Parts: sequence; structure tokens; C-alpha cells
Amino acid sequence: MHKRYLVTGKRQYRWHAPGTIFEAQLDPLAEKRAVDRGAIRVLDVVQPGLQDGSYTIPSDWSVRANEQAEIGGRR
Amino acid sequence: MSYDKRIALHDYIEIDGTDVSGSFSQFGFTSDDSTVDVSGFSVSGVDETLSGPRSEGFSGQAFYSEDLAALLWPIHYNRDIVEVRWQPNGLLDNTANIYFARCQLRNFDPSNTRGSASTTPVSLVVADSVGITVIGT
Repeated sequence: MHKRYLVTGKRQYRWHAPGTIFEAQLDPLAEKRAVDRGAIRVLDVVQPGLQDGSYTIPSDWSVRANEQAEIGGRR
Repeated sequence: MSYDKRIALHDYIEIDGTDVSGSFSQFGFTSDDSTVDVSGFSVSGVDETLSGPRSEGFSGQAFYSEDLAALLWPIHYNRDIVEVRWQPNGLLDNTANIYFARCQLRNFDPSNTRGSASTTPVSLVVADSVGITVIGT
């Protein structure tokens, strides 16, 4: 499970500098140890998917869909 | 033929994901095969041997600090198996070879001497059968 992490410790964590945010899929035990000792903090779980507003449908999509349906119907 | 020689100053050392390069003044690994005697009687009397089990591990000398102890003590106390990476000259050259293994910290022996820097030896024993691998980047 991918998560977003903030490096909260004074040292780099997996090449990420203190204060930076990174995404990774960490081993659960390694994540727990790092969180327990204050090296990182879990910000959120990354859910794959389309975000609202990140996609648009062509303005003529309904016309083209009907055309395709008619072509398919004639075959 | 000439070889690149280098003063060791810029090694990258990572334990359980955390960069501990600045805490160590010395670091390296050992990979030792035991010698098994399989000698029979012979004219020469010279031993005949085979390579036996191989033991591997990283070791080094670190300056003791509270945040280093916060990293190492739980690993030792809970007998966790953690990833260890040593990349000679890695702080300057991130394409340098990385020596990697999953290890346990079987000893944790910090000590102080009056008037001297607080130090602790760190010895990480390889814990799985994969052993130390070289990652060429």
C-alpha cells in the first residue's frame, strides 16, 4: 500500500532529507520502527484513481457515441 | 596500470532506512568461510581442506548520540532484522556500488571514557541466507 510520508527526524530517511515528503510502499515493520522513533510520519494513503477535475470528456462525445452506435448497428 | 586510490571520507551508511553516515568514523564488512579439514593420510602430510559455512556481517565504530541510540537500541532489543547499506564514497558518487544485507544487531555496547568522545562499536550480523549482495547502480 503506497503512502505519503513526511521525514520528521533529523537524519535523511531512504535518501529523503528532513522536512521533505515522499511516496513509498514500505515494509510494515520498517514503517512502524521508523514512525516509533520519530524518523517519519504517515501523511495519507495514496489511493490510485482519477481525481475530480483531472479529466475532461470531449464536448462532442454524445454525437460521436451515437455515430459509432449507428455504424455498429448497420454491421 | 594505475588504479584510483582514494582517501575514505564520503561513505554512505544506512541502517533501517536512516542515514547514519555522519555518526560513523569507520565501517566495513567481513565475509569469512570456515575451513573444514578433510585430510586423509598422505605422503606429504599436508592438510586437505574445503570451505565450510560462511559468516558475514558489517561492523564499524560510531559516535554515540541519543538519536543513534534511539535507532539502534530498539533494533537490538527486539532482535529486528533490518536493511543495511554501505556505499563507499556514496555521498559524492551515488552510482558507486552498494553493499547490502539484512542484518541483526546482536551486540549493543556503548561506553564512555572520561575526556574522550562517546563512541560505540556497531556489529551487524547477516541474518538471512542471501548474505551480502553488491548492488551496482
